Amino acid sequence: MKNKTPTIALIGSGLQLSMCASFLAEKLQYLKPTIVAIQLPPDERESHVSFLFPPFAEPAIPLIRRELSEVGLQKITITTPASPSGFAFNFSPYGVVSDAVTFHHAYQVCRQQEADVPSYDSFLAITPPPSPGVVYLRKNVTHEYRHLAVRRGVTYVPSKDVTVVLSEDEKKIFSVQTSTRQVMTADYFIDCSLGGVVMQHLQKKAVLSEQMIPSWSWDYRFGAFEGGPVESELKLERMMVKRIGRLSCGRAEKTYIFGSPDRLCEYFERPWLANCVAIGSGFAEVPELLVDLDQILARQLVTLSWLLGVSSETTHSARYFNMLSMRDFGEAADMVNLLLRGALDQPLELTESNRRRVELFRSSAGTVKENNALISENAWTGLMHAVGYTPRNTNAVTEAIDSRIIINRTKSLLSR
Amino acid sequence: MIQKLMIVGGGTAGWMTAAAFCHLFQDSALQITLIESEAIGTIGVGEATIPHIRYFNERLGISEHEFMRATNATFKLGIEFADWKQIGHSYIHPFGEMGFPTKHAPFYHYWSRAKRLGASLSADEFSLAAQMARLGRFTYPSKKGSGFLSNFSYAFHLDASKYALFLRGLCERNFRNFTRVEGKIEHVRQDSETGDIIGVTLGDGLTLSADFFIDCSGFRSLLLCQTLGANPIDMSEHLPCNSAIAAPTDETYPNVPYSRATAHAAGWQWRIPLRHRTGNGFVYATDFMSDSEAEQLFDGNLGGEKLADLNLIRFQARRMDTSWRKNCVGIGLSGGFLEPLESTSIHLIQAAILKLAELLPGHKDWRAESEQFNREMADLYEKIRDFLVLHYRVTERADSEFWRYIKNMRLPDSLDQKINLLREAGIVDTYQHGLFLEASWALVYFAQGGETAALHHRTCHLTDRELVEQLKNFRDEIANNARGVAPQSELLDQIHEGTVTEQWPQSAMSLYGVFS
Repeated sequence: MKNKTPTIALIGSGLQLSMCASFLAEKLQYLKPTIVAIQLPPDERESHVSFLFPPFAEPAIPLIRRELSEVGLQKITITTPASPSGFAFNFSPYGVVSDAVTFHHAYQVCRQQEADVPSYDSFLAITPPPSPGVVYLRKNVTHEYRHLAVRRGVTYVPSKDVTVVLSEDEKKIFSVQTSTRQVMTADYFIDCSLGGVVMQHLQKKAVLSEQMIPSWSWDYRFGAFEGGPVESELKLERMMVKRIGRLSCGRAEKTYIFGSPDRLCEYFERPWLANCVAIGSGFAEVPELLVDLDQILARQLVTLSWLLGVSSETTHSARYFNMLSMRDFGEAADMVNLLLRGALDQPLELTESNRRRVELFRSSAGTVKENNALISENAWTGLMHAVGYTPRNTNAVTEAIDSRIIINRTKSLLSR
Repeated sequence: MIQKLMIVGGGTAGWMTAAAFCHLFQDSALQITLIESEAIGTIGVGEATIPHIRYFNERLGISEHEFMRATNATFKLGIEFADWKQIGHSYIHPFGEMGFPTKHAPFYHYWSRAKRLGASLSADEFSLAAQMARLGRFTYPSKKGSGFLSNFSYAFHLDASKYALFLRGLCERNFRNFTRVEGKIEHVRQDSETGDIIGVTLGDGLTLSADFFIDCSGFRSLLLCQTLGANPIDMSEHLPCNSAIAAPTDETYPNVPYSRATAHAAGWQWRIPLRHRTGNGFVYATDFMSDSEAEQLFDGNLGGEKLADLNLIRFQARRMDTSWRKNCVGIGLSGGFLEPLESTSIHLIQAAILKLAELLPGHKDWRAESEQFNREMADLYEKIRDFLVLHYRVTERADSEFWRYIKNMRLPDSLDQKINLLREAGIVDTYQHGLFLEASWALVYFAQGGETAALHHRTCHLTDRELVEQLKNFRDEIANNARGVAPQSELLDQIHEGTVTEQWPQSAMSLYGVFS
């Protein structure tokens, strides 16, 4: 009993191409696929530092962790003009005090009644097991992934660009041609190139309203090591957001300037269409403030590895993949929207899902529960506190309990 | 903050709600009143439960053995589905995982591949809970073991009316902030400006007021639907059964730790073995079977003498468009109803109580909270509906008008996508927040004869021969363990006689184990 051996053409550059190549080569190994990675010139981000935050623990990510385990990031701090506060991940919000009194509620009681409440992220340290993030140089990681991919049989074909040939009915990709006139046909074309150079022949991109995420440009600098712990920091000032990473090899600073008409929050509504699949940077563009497209790409790869090559029909697989991809993109965009709305001088509209989140949080410190969430409930609560939203109250059960009990139990979490 | 909470209706939903809120607010000034009328009967939902009820009881500080004695309970390890795939076929949907996942893939991928290779292996053979159930054995999930010894859970068959009485006793005995009022509501009073409910007038003229109301009035939905105008969303297109006849019989099955749901020509029949009697019911669609036909078939299928007259219940699969409207929440049948094929009635009550307890704000503007509550409840209902319809749809049966209707009916989009994804790619579109997760979807789909075009390559680290051999060994190991367990009746006798140490595993809000 055997599956058909698929041919897969990957189109992209840098880290995302190599992540994709090595991951699929490993996960599809029993299909014995032919994987060709058409390597476009590196885009400018490849010299950058990236940050890996703890909630994104998909199989692709431990690979990076393992290779960079010496660079543990224990704490992520967000500083905003509105509220110096923290950002926490990965501990269960439930049952801290009693049923129906979640950590979010208990923390709110502490904030209402105590002057010296530790920041939300202080509670990260009690997370069992500790869940450090990492800061890494993309170039180094790209090299490691490429090495793995080649070892697993992926063929790399460098090309300055690609020419896309559509099928006669123009509904799918027939072939791609490299700058050296090599023609590639494949069962699947997986496009992780910046902007989706292959997918854009099959569909136009949709754009998220600038009223929700304004257009932006960015600047990147890498300087000498300044000392101090390995950590990353996000600074929000007027129309600027600075993402700063301190590594033992240097200090990376990426500055986003919003309102500058350079880049838009764009995406393909059907990232899997016919025989083409757009992932990561090939799928969407979103300011990488808290969620990197690498993380979305990693989750897309996990899903894809369950779907590729298992059946000749792909209608429902594509629908499933598109639904999950759009959900992740929506969450990533929501997080940027919420962060910017609290930080920028320019008034922004909340997305519909953020409206629900904010209303519930402001009313009674509640959290919206989503299925298969990219971003944890704790992360949303941390962000709410960070950007300055204050709940009016908590829930009735919390109010019915002596606040001293709640405060003592919550604080005792820190001393454990 | 609300000062007075009124619960209307005293069936299973009413008393579970009262017990939970009395417990949660026992040190507060909140006054809780429950109004019920002995003149109005209760449906007595949920003789068969799912493991989540243990979590509910544990939070109330209830001793599991005391509860079992009070409700004439027996253990339940799952549900046997007879004649669903085809007449003569049966399988057990256990409370637990099917096998356990490897680092490569969930277990069902291995099973599915072995089946395509022609191996004769039933899906439910890879669950200790299902194997014990078939043999009439029962033991608790192991805390020390790993894999199949611990990845299952258990629930109870119980007398629902006795459970309500048990909770009533708890409320009346333990909570000073609780009052029970006997009476029939004649009139519901509303604020003329806001439309909020402000109180009720009883038949004897007594008026009672409150600032928050929980409607547990059953199918009548007196407050939520009749007073506040919540609109029922009809789900009968996909779940056409709309009637049930029920009657207890005198026989007992001391070594049957599972419920049985037997499909028939226009629905299905349940058998729930309690300690002192057996609960029976016959669910059918009147578009395809008359009441008299149903009664005749039901009578012919009973295993003992009837202990009461037949109870005819008319229903409609539905949920309210808003379970929380203004200052009122509908819990139980007033908020919606799905047929009890997977014993979800008490769970829906419990889920609504826990969601309400978490969301109910400390102030009186609950627009954001009610929106969230309604979204979560709608999601829960629709996911359970999809799972129930799965049982009817994935079958070889086409031997009556009813089954042919089901075969041709349009599926809800969400279920259509799930089934087609399983057919096409062999994977389950799973989720975090929901009752039935990947293991249940895979087991029911494959056990009822669902096919997949996909051959999952991730299992190919084993050769065909290795795969079949390892699965057979695994099945035999589970069977040997099941045979080593004592009959259920031994533990039941000790519990009901009070001669066993009060020890049981911790509870969890999960079908799939208590230690994960």
